[in-house]
Amino acid sequence: MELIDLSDYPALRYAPLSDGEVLDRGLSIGRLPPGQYALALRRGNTIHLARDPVGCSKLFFGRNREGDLVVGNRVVRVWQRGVPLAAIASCPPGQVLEVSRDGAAKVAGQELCDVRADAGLSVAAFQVEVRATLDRAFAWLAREFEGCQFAVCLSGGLDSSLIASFAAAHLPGVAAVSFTYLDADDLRRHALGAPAEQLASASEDLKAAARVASALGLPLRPVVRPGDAVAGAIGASVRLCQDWRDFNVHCATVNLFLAQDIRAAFPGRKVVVLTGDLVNEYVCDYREERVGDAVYYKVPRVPADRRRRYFVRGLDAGDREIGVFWAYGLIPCQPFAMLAESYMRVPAAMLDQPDIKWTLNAPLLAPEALPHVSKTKTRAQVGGKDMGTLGIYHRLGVGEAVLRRIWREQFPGEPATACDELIEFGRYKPPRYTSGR
Amino acid sequence: MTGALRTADLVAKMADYILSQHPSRFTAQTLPHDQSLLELGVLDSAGVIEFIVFVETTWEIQISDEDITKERMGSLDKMAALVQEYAARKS
Repeated sequence: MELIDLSDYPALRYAPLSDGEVLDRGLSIGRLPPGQYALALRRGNTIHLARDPVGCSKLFFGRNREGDLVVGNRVVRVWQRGVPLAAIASCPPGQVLEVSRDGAAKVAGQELCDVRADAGLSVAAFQVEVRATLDRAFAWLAREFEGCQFAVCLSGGLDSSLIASFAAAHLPGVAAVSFTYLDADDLRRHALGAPAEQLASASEDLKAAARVASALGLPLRPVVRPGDAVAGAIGASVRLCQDWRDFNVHCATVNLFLAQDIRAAFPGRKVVVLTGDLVNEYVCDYREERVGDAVYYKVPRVPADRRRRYFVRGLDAGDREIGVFWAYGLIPCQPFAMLAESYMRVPAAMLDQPDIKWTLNAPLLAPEALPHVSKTKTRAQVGGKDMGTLGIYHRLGVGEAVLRRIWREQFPGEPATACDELIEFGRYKPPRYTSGR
Repeated sequence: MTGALRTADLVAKMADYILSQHPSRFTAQTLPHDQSLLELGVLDSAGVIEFIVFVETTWEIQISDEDITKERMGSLDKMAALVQEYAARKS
């Protein structure tokens, strides 16, 4: 069986580990190291697939009509190489699979959701651990990407401000980027030199980001768009984030605008884009949103530990960060991927506390940034007047039916059911295992 | 039937939950047992999670992530079979 490996997403392991060493670690101790990676490795007649524990990097595979194993980060590329959609599966996060002519067998790995919560967790010890892990991760980034441009996506909220704090402390020449919609008058004023954060129609996110960036000594590059820009970004948002579900598509649209301007600001340079994603899933800090009578981003009414389980396992599906930024040749970096196990040990009783994220993470901020960080809980795609990107999609009448149609249009000739079944129960479709552990 | 858990009882209890917590056009007489409640529009993605947690809590089981698939959970009948399987493993 030939291996056709179309994987091209950058791998970040935050340690000097080769693909082979990552695989060997998974096979020997049963757990893969943290990071952002998806790999396919042939050794003799054996082909192994492995994917990071959070599922940051996507990994699709299937056999084409010639019997070759086609592997890739983008499902559409695997499909374009002759694998029918119904035959494409995803390697689940944190798993090592052995793939043969007979099918796929799970040979090692661990589900993140199986990490046991620590009922006696000490917040102080947690913070020491998180700080040490982030210090190591950023030291590795400084070495690995020496000479590169660094950009941090900053909303002015706690998670991105924490990443910006560590970036400012460890990395040279970091630029902060922050997004806002502006109305037509303010777009003109901005084009004539008015700072975006001082304009009336700028989002509160941008204003908070400007204060945090200033406190950290980072130059801020506002990324501005008129609300009208969304209509032209919908198709690319669906395709690049490999998802049709609104919460991921809306976020992908914001990231798309950020990616476009970061790429334009640093032409020809290798740019590492840092984001503060993942903590909201780890501490299940999400709420549903209402626009008029419509309810979006519904949150299941279940106990906090169960909610966390489904938020975290749901990180498997959707590619709103790496898929979007990498499409513009930018290297996406999600340092909180290094901390998944630490956060999974936070007990359910703590998750139910108001402001738990603030309790856990605020002491890790650079002290000069702390007074400027916004405590308002706002998703990136909701920030701004009239509910930001979500509000614009709503007013355009672009809901799940339209997004699903755009998704299906990528696969002409495939039945709708095969397109839809790529995501089932919140995860990319796993393989039908032949055997294994 | 497996052990003390009869398929018909399991399905009836699940159907009661669905009909009371997620009102739809279906009744106890018309709610399909062999079709996906997600595809029928009875449950949305949040509702599916609530349903899984209901099943786990009611029958004191923890469904493994690898069993959360359409193949294993794609209808009330399949859910009942899954509960029987987990219950049998416990006993």
